[in-house]
Amino acid sequence: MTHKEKQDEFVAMIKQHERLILRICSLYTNSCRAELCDLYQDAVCAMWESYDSFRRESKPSTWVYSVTRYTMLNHMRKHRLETMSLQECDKEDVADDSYDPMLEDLHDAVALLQPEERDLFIMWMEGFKNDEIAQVTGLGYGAVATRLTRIKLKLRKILKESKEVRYE
Amino acid sequence: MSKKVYNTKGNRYIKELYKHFSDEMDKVVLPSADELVKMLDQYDGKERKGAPVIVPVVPLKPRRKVWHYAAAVLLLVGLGTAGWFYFGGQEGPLTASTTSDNGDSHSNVLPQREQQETLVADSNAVTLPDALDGTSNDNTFLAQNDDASNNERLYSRDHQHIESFDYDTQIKTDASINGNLADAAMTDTDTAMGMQDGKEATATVTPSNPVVSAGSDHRAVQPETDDNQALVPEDVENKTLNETRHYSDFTDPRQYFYQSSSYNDWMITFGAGVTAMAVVPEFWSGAHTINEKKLAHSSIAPSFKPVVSASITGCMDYGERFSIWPFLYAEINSQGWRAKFDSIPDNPAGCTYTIELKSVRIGAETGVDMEWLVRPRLGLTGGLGVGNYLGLMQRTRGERHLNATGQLMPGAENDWMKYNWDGIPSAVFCATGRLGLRYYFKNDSFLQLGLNYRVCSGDLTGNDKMYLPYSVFCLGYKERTLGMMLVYGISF
Repeated sequence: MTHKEKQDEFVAMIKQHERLILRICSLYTNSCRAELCDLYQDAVCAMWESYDSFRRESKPSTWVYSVTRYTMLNHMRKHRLETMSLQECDKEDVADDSYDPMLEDLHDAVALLQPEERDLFIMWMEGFKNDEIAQVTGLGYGAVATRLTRIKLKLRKILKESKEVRYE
Repeated sequence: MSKKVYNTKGNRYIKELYKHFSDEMDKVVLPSADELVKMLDQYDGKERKGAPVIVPVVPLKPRRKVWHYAAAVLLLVGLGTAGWFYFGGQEGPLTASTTSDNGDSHSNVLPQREQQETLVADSNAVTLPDALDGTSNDNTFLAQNDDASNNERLYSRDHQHIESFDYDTQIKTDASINGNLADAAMTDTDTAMGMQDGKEATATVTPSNPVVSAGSDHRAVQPETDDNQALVPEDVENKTLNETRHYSDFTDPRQYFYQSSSYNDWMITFGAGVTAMAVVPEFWSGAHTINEKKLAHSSIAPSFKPVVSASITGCMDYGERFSIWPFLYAEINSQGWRAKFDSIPDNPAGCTYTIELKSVRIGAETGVDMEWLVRPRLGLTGGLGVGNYLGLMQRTRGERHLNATGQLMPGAENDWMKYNWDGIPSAVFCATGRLGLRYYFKNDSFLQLGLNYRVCSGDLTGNDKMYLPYSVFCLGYKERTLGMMLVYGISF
């Protein structure tokens, strides 16, 4: 396979999963849209660099998720002190009338999850099956199901409390 | 601001939030394919500083359920072993195939030792029942003494041999009789020669002087004359209905032929109590990676939890051959609930099967339930539980009375399946625990080497004390799903 062919194949795969990458970037970093594009590019570059090691024994979406997740965790470690919340980002870049309480609910709730819980939650919402989640996280199939149940209960509690606060 | 108020119950709201989030993300403009190509070309041509991006090692092969199959195989092997142990590995029931005078063949299954006792006052006396009267069609009869030799002998007229079974040594000897013992009953005098207890034996029988001599051992013979039941005093027969009979229990000096029995014992108990459980220090080694961090976990976590429990247990006891305690147990405690089934053999060498289902709250519980943090791992655990158990024990027992040939005694058949209910209020105190080592594999399978023990006091009557170390080696598997954990294992 020539370099050009490999690049075309890679780009096609990225285009197929670009929204997935973007959502992972957003949920992990809680970044504003301007920063999201940078994170997206970082993730794509990381994938390109490791594309040769992708043996295609797992689904492309699983591989894409794994690399993006790792890139975001790496980013958070490096820029822990520089991270802005979505709210702050909105204040700077976005007009107040576009403030979206639902997005804020989601990001706040996800931020309250433990890192491993966040992994499971995002993969579940992205439609990964339990065995695929187990494959990425290294957990057992049963453990994935158990924790997902617990995460959903936790999220429901968080969201309910946030609603009650908002409409008081 | 959105005025829509969602029902926050259920997962629908979460999904709607995520859908809304996805819709918002779809509005973000991302680089086109051409722009991506340019970006990659630029990235390839750029000299990057620092360490290259580390790409996580993603397990690419699907997880194999090897341990599921292994656990199933082990379970089957264990069941087979147990089956062999209980049904095949011990001496089978004494049977004698005989042919009656009219040519019909039939087989008598003689009851086990606890179901056959011949009680005689004189240790040298032996009772030979109906075969000597010459009228019975049964060619097999039993003679047994309860002297110190603790032997049971089966004289067979058909096969012309003496089978002797020593319960102390568990050795069965089979000696051919040189002669015909049956003829001895029908003629005036006869002598049977053979090997008995490893030495030459001579049996001499005369109607006027019914003595069987075995070597120098002279034994009185008390021929039975009245269809199998003449030698059972009424008071003895009635008395035995409510007794647990052991060989050494019979000290009645009277000479009689005790013709009984087989019995079933079932005990059903219900109770409630408070159990305090302490978890002693646990030490774990191994590594589990969470977010690229290796975690090691050790715990010193004594925990005390109030417990309300109920259990049903029964003892299936068939002589000395088969005795097992199935144990159903349910518990509600401060941290959740637990239900388990134990099948505990009434001897330390047997297998214990355990299936346990319990709620799991990772993080809320300590000790064993934190095992998920460490994998693979080697754990040293120990525990001691002390609790009391108050309950009412009901026993049902059926008996049947058999004659020496294994046939139901006339007039006694109704005792079989006629249960006696003995309401015994009991207070049993038990200490249970486990001391051992467990090695856990990645998928919650484990090997355990250690000692499970259960020590219980007797009930109010002082009976049924139980000191039971019931497993040393255990293979098990844990499955966590839907907030519950299933543990099943085989202990040896």
